[in-house]
Amino acid sequence: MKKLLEYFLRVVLLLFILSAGHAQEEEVLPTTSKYKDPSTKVWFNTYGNIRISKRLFWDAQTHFRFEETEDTPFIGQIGQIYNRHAIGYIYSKKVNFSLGGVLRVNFNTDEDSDDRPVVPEFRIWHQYQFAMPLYNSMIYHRLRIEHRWTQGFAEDSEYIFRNRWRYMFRAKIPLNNYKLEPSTLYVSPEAELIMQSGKAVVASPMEDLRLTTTLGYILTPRLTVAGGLMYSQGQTLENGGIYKQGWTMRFHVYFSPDIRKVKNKLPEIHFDD
Amino acid sequence: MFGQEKLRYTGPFQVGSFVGEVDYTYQIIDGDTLLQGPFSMKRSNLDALLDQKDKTFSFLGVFENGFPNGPWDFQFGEFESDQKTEVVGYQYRINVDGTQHRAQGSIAMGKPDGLWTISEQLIEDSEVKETLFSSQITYSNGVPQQSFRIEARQSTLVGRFLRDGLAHDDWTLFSDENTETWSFEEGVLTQIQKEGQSFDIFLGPFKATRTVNLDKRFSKILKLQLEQEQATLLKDGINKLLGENGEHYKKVDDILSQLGESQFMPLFKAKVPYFPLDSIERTALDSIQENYAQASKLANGLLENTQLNLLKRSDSEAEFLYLAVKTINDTFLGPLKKVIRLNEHQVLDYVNREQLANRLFPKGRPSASIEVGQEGRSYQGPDHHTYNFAGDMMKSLGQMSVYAKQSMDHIAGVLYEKVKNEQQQQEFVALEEQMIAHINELNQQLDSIDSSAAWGKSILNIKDLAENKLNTYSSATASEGKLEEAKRLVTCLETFKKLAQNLAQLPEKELEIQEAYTDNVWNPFMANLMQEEVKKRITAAYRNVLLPYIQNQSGSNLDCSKADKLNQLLGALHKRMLELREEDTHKLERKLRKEKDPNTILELFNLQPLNN
Repeated sequence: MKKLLEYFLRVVLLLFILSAGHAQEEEVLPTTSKYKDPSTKVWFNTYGNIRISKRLFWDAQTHFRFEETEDTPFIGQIGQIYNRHAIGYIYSKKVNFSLGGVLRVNFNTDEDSDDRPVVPEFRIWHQYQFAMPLYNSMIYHRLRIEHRWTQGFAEDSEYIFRNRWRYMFRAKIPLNNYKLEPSTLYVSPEAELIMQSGKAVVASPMEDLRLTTTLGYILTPRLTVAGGLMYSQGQTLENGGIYKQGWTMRFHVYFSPDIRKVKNKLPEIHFDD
Repeated sequence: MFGQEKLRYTGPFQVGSFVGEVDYTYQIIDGDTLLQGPFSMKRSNLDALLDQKDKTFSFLGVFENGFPNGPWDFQFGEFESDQKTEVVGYQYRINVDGTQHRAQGSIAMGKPDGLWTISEQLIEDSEVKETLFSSQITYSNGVPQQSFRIEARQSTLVGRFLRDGLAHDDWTLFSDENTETWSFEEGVLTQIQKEGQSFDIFLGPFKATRTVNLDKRFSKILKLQLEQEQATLLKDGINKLLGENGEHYKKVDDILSQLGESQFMPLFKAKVPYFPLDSIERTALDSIQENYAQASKLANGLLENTQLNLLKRSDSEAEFLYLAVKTINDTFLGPLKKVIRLNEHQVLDYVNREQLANRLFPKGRPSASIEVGQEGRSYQGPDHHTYNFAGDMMKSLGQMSVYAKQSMDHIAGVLYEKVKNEQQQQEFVALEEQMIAHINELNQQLDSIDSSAAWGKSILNIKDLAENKLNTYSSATASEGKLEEAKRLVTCLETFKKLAQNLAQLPEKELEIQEAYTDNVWNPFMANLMQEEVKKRITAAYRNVLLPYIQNQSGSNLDCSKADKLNQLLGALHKRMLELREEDTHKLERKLRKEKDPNTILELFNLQPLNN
């Protein structure tokens, strides 16, 4: 596993350097980086992790993302509906992998636009997640690679293909308990770097850097709720010198039902310990 | 008869305890086997002789019409060998050591006739070393005649008979040390002389006499005439030798009577005075036998009663009565037993009653007021003043037996009651100790738990209840049913104690149930195992309905039978909860939704509800 991790980190680093090389060739770059005004968004995310066999689960996520517009400040209007599904493989209690697809529905939030109001976006994604206990907490490393086909709202817009390289570091620290178990309030700081590559990506390899802090509460072993605030920034695709910023309120529901028959549940989870 | 065909049998044969090879001829007349002609039966075993020892015998003689008739020779040997052999001529010779009995003489139609010689000889190296016994008696048709001679190792008895077999004149035993002489007159033994002493035996005139055989019975009759030391003096000597002679004749008689008709026993005869029991005496004797049997059974039962033996150490009245039993046993039952024995041996008819009284009660006849122990206290049985043992001997003995039996009945009644009371007292003590032990354990139980805890109050209530019950019991007066009450209370207190223990253990049991109903669930988001309670409706019913119900029940209107039911319920509930964890309980869980009635829940759990 370590080797795999190392390999991916190297690939990410290499791509970063290559992209940086391209960026120097961009002509319209401003002399200093410019930051757009931050936008505010609200995300309601559901994360389902549905056990379907001893080693397999169905990863089902649906997100509703709202963003502010001039007419609808703060919570804004619906921007994206996001369906992410995958079949996951439980390698061990601490390591799992997923492979699946994403259908994202993008809504045109530009009130002045005459373009199409809704366009789909497709992705194939795979993910490698590693957990490590640390004292009473857990820390997580998540590598996620996405192959993404997007198009603009314009009538004749064509799909462009990009790859996304994402690494997330996250910790979950229980606040009122000595371990993460039901009836526990925890705080979860998290940082994710999203890099991108592809023909369309010339000077803006760093798509997004997300810094989040969430407060969560474990209701049962199968249900957790969390809410937090995320600051994000990243290069715009059009111009690598211009950075967009955002403040996002995020609300999460994590659920993990087990639809297996009772007799198949036994023994519970004992993979290799 | 002579026309009948004679048959011959040769082969194995058994006569009494003798097994050997036989050779005889016989006739079957009217279905009966009658021995006829020569008879021989022998046995010897060389292997047995060489191995250890051989018992050999040989009987040779002649039968006529089933009666032994003619010359007979009986030999019995018991030999062992030194295992050295020698060939002489064409025969192997083995020397033997042992004893050889031999009886030789002539028989006329089953009765000894002519000279009979009986001998016992010690054999060493196949030669006669010593004659141990020898008797020579001449018979005429079974009746001993003229003079006889019986020799033992170191003594010789000589005497003579009248023609009808009655002993006559002096019978004298000559030995190295002394001589013993029995003087008969026409069959009546008048005097015995031994070691310079001389004592008269039967001196006339007699009302009546009877002719008896000079056998064991005669020696018993004789013994009744003698003082103790005289009897001891005469134990050996003529008495013994006559007995020994009788034994030898009996051996031969046993064999002959097995084979056919015979009256081989020597009929030495003597005359003794006769005092026949009259009908009143016979009735008294019957009553003696009956009363003696019952009284002696009671006496033995009391004397061997271990509890009574213990009780008499602490209870002086019991000790007194115990000693009274002993005294009655010695002074009444002992002599009565002797009388019964004498009757069994058929000698009562030959003893003078006064003589018998002197013999039975050398210190005089006992009184109805029985002196017990050293302190001069007397035991007086029921109606003691109506008894007088001074009159007619047999009648008095009969009365003694009645008195002894009644006294024994009375004493047994008193003593067994005492033993029973004592036993009851001990039972009470034991039961009360158990009660206290249970109460103490209850108190300890209470000390070891937090009385403010959920179950503390119930246990406190149980303890109060138990103490109340004990107080009620201890203030109750002794009565018929108190022992039963005590037994019930011990059981009840034990039940209370168990209930308290069970209740005190409940938190522990609850934890055990909780653990049993906890599953480890893998949380994919946290990537760890989390404990999850399963079958929550069952555990909720257990925790929120049943346990409070049981607590409530043990806190109010508790009695022994309810406590017992609660104990059973607690045990069964715990067991059932553990079973339900493993069972498919989907239906049950559905039914449990919203169910709050404890008895319904118990029924759903397949447990016996408390109220029925």
